Amino acid sequence: MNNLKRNFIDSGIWIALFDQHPGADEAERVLNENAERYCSLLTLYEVLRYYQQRKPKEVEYVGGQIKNRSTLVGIDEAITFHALRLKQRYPQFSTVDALSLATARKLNANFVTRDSDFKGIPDARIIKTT
Amino acid sequence: MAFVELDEKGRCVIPKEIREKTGATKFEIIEYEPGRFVLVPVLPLKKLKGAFKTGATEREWKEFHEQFEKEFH
Repeated sequence: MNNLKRNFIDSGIWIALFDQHPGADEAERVLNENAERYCSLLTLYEVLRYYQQRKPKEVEYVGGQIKNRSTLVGIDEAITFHALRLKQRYPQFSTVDALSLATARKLNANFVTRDSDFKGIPDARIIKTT
Repeated sequence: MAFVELDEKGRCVIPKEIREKTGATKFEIIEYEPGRFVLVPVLPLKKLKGAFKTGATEREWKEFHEQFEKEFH
């Protein structure tokens, strides 16, 4: 059985690294960990949309880096229903937050993020941005 | 920019100039429109930090992220 740690990489981690925002060093460390890495298609879409609006020529390049370093995961029925329960329990969550955390939980992965909305969530790992 | 030929097994050599320029040892082939492909270098992790700077501030990223989340409400 594979006991390797699993990390689900949220959009802010990718942006910190690629765009060198606060937390870039920690993001690099996270991506360097001996762990399986996952990313949702929704996260990929968000990061690529960010680049589409600012540096459209880089979209394919950025997408290539993410796809090479993580396994992309789509939303299925179990994730949808878990996200609904999360949204009800944590009113501060956006739909994207709920779907992302539900995806990480389905994979038994740590949810690695810079988003303070996840403060207090036991399986969320919020990286330092200072 | 450069022409490459495939050998009998379908292999080709990426020109040294391109390998050195990108620093990549792995490339992704993307079909960006029907019949047209681009070779996307996969950068080593140590080269990724700041590799795609947009000039946007952290605040601008947060505003984008909030707006993106609102679109799904």
